[in-house]
Amino acid sequence: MTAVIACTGLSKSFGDKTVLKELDFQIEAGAPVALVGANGAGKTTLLSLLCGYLTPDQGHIQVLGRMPGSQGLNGRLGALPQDAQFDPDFSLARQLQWLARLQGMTASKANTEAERVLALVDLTAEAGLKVAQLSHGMRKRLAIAQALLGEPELVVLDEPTAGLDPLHAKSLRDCIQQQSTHCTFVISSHNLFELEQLCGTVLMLEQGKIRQQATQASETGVLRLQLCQENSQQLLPLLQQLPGFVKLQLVNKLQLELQYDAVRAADFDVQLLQLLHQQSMDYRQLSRGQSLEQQLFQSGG
Amino acid sequence: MHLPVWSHIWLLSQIEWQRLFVTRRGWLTLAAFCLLWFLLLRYVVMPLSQWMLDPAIIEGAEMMAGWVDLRQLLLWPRPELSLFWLLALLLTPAAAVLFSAGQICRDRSRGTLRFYSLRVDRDSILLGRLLGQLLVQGTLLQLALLACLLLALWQGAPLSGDLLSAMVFCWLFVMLTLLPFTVLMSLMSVWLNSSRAAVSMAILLLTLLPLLLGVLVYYWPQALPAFAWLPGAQIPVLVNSSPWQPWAELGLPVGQALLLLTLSLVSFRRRSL
Repeated sequence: MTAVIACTGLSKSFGDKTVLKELDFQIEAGAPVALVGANGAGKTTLLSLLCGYLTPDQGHIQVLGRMPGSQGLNGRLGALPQDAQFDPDFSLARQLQWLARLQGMTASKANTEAERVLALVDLTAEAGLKVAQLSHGMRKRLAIAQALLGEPELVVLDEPTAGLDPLHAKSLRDCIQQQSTHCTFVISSHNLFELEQLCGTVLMLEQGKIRQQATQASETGVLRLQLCQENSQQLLPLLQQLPGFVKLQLVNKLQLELQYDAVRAADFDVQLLQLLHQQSMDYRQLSRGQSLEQQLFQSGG
Repeated sequence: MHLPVWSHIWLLSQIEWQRLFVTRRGWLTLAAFCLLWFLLLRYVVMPLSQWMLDPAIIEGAEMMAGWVDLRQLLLWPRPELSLFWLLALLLTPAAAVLFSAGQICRDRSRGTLRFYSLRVDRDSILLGRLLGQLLVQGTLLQLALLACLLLALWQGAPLSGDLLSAMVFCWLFVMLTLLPFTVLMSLMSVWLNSSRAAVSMAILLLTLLPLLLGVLVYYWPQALPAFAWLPGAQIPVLVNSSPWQPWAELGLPVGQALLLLTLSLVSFRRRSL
């Protein structure tokens, strides 16, 4: 595997406040990577350092084998910076064409590319409008479109769905999933549900350090079941009889977390569904593995 | 495919240049500029040039010599152009300070530069914006000069090689005069977060520095040559020059611009975006 991002001894302070403390980590090319953390944990600072908007106080960063801000990253690194806005006086298409030209495309190729990325974020009809005429969500989608210009190898997205309506948030998640076959995404977000759907690896920033690096693929042998009615007490003795059952935890009145022996009972989920069917119990959702929220915030508890 | 640095600079300068003709802000600038020069040409240049065409004025020019040497102005092929030269040297530096104040800070505070900096190095961004400003200023000055030429022709001047050559000289030397002011605003725009703050700081610098130098020279007369390093220091000499005469005054604005440009580039490389 190739490291698309490698940081060693990375530190950044603003005045007396140390935001990042000697971070050491690397991100491999492949499935999207999530960056999570509380407000002020340093997510945006880290992404700004990766994009070369800020310079580190200490340490080294390599992005696709280059220093951030290097010309060698032109067209290879795409980014959605937090709160960055386009010039309100020019049209969407014109500004995307300029950026594509700066990436080295010819005028006609830049035109085609601008149309392609506008279509990806469902802004084709607004291509000729000035940015000042767009809503907040549309501006966000435009900023995402510029990050995808020229099919970069690495795309860094800072809170990509904040401010987007559910339909476009879903559309963006689909777009990321499609693009992630040839591009590595690093996504900072507070939306754990979204990250759970998209990302294979999660980096959690806490007090300037990467506290935890969770990989969802490693979590097997756990099923989360959400019932439609509160009948867990009736279900408990039946579940304990299922082959491979290890432990049951009530997350809340309707949600159960089941641990099972994945080696002995690889078809535990099938048995569970059959049991629910036999008992005529409706369920809302069954999912495999711990939720990202549980992995990040309950693992120590 | 990667573009060479000069291509990036040129593309970025074209964006700035287009701003003048495509955006509402640009149209307002253009309209204000045209109105101002119409008023100056109609109510200052036109009556004064007719007055300067009077042979009696030419004879008495030696007696009227003051801060502005009328004898030198009369050496120009047409009085309209000499008056334009005088007005442009005295007024356009202030316009350059006002109009080029947002070169970097406006897009930096909005975050737009973050989109550019992923594709272009910071030196190219700064140089592209600066070149764009100079192209805009050059275009506007050219328009004003053309209007002055039309006025001269309308007042009976023959279209001669001397007249066109004087126009080229006027454009070139006014642009060179504006160069350090424009680069100064590039520096202010890197240091500060808004156009207004950049203009305020430039006004403070351009007024306080001569005052402080004056105090310094009072106590230490050897510091007198330092006045020459203030932007626009050569303007009093240029005002009293006839076309293609003041070549010696070229070095000063170019030197000032290079010094300020170096400071701008170094500051911008270190600035957070």
